[in-house]
Amino acid sequence: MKVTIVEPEPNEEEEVIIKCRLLDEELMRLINHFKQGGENLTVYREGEVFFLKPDEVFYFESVDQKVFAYCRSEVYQVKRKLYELLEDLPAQDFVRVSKSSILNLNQIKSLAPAFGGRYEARLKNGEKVIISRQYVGPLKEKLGV
Amino acid sequence: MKENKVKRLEFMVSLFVKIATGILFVTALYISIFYGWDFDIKVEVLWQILILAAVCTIGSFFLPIEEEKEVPRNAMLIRMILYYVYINVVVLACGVYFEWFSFSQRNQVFGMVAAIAFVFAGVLGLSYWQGSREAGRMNQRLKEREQK
Repeated sequence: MKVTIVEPEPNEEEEVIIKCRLLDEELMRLINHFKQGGENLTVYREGEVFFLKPDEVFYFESVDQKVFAYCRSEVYQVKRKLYELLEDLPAQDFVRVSKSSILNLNQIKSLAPAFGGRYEARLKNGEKVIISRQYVGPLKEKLGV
Repeated sequence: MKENKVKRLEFMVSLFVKIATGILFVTALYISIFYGWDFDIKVEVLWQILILAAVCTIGSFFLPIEEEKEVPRNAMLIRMILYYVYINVVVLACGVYFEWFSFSQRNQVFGMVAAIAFVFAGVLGLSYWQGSREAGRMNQRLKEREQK
């Protein structure tokens, strides 16, 4: 692949332009990498900006149109939509488990059945996340069950 | 949409098998208690059991299947109660219609109500056990992931 670096004009914003015939998986990964500002996620708390490795996040939850990243003991706001996050997070590690949450498979301690065909994920930090009935199928698929 | 119908059918077939097994078990117990060990039954009782299991299964439309829209916990509880009431009405009505008992024989009516509760709890317990097994398989996969 040819890489061309052009210096922008002084009043011009820095920009990455990709010229390609096909948006394949590798290219998408690179695009996501640029969008996210590297491997890290940009998150916010009390007016400060933080950068997190995706694996530090136990789960993401959308509450009142705001998305939060729940880590071992801290909670950060993520200024992105859940579906956008899901597109960019490592697909092998993150799975949607309800309309309002995405779960990190690496942070699950155990799973147990819950009332009405749901499952409960007990996380390594002691928190519990409910897996909705309609997302159990995709979870099983991801785990190869 | 078509996939949902197939899933619903699979769910109903699985439930039918569980209910029919439960009714068969309870019928054996019920006849032994109320009619004695040597009582002869007619072949039609077997068909009545299958018909009753099928009618009870139809009521499972109260319950959502995996792919359907998420139902809140309380709504799910209400649906379960409705389904339980439906089962009671159907079994008692069929019991009288098939002449398994009459409402004048209180012991038999109470026996039937207890039998319904037993089968219902049994089917719920079996479903929970299946869920536990499934969770066990997923936990195993999670462990394997961690070891990689």
